[in-house]
Amino acid sequence: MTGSGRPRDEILARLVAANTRPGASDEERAVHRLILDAATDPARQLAAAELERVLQHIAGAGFDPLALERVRGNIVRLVRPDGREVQQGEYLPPAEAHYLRHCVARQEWPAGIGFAGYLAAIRQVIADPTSGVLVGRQYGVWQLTVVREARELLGPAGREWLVVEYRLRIGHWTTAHHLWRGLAQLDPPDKEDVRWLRTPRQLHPPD
Amino acid sequence: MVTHTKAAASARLSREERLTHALDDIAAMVAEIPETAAEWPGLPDGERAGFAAEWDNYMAGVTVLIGAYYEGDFTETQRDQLFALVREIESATPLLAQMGLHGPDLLNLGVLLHPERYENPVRR
Repeated sequence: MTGSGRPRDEILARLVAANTRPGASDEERAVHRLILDAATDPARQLAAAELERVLQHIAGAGFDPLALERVRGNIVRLVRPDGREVQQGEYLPPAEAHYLRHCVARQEWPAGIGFAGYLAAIRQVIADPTSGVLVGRQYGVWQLTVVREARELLGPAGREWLVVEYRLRIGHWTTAHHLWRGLAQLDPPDKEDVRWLRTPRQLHPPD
Repeated sequence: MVTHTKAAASARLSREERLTHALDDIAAMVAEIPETAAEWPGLPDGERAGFAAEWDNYMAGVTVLIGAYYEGDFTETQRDQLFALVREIESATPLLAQMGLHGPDLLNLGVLLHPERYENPVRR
């Protein structure tokens, strides 16, 4: 925390209120406060335990279990985890829609990873100490991004790097996919006000 | 836990297969733009956020594909697919603007798609 004292507290409280869904838990508010404090104060460095607390919360947030989204792209007629076929115009939970799009249609993740495996792999990426963590705004809204080399999560059509996006205002993951252009996509114009809370480690440098 | 052993079973597509796969995949997403633009104002925040992040990634994919085209990796069919895809994105520009989204970096592909726009004869 900067030495400005109470005004800073008030600014943070307003930021947290504006970027946290109604009904969020005390832990979610506390985590958002840590994220936004680090995002908006260049002098603020999260301690290792604070970053761990943030990531533990993000790992448990998952995709929004109550939302539904219309199927898009080429996931129509793919087989859902429950064995039924996706119908044109159908609405699916975001977790399923992302699984079908990125694992089954796009083949970014390993073949046969399965629905539960996809979600477990996302949690694994968030918990991985070699993953980078950055906070920034996308289309004006604060997000936390976890980025890691694909490594064992490289599928038939996967890319070198993958991301998990967590949007504060929603309190859930909004996507988890492989990046076409790697880390370059984490810069403007796609993202603004970017600050790395932890830089990623590259274990497999390109040839 | 996904292990390295399991990943070994995940054979990579060939470069040509990956290019075709990507062209088909991005084209399917781009074809959805008119319908998505129509429903955009009423979409929940989470769905818009997810779509915007995916869209940016798809447009990054188009830029990568254009780079691959310049490197000479494309068959004639793939080149035609790529040009058709870029033209479709260009025609969707007003809808994308309504949604606050942007198209890809064309890496000067426009000069091949629309040479008439770039012709600027030197007068002596």
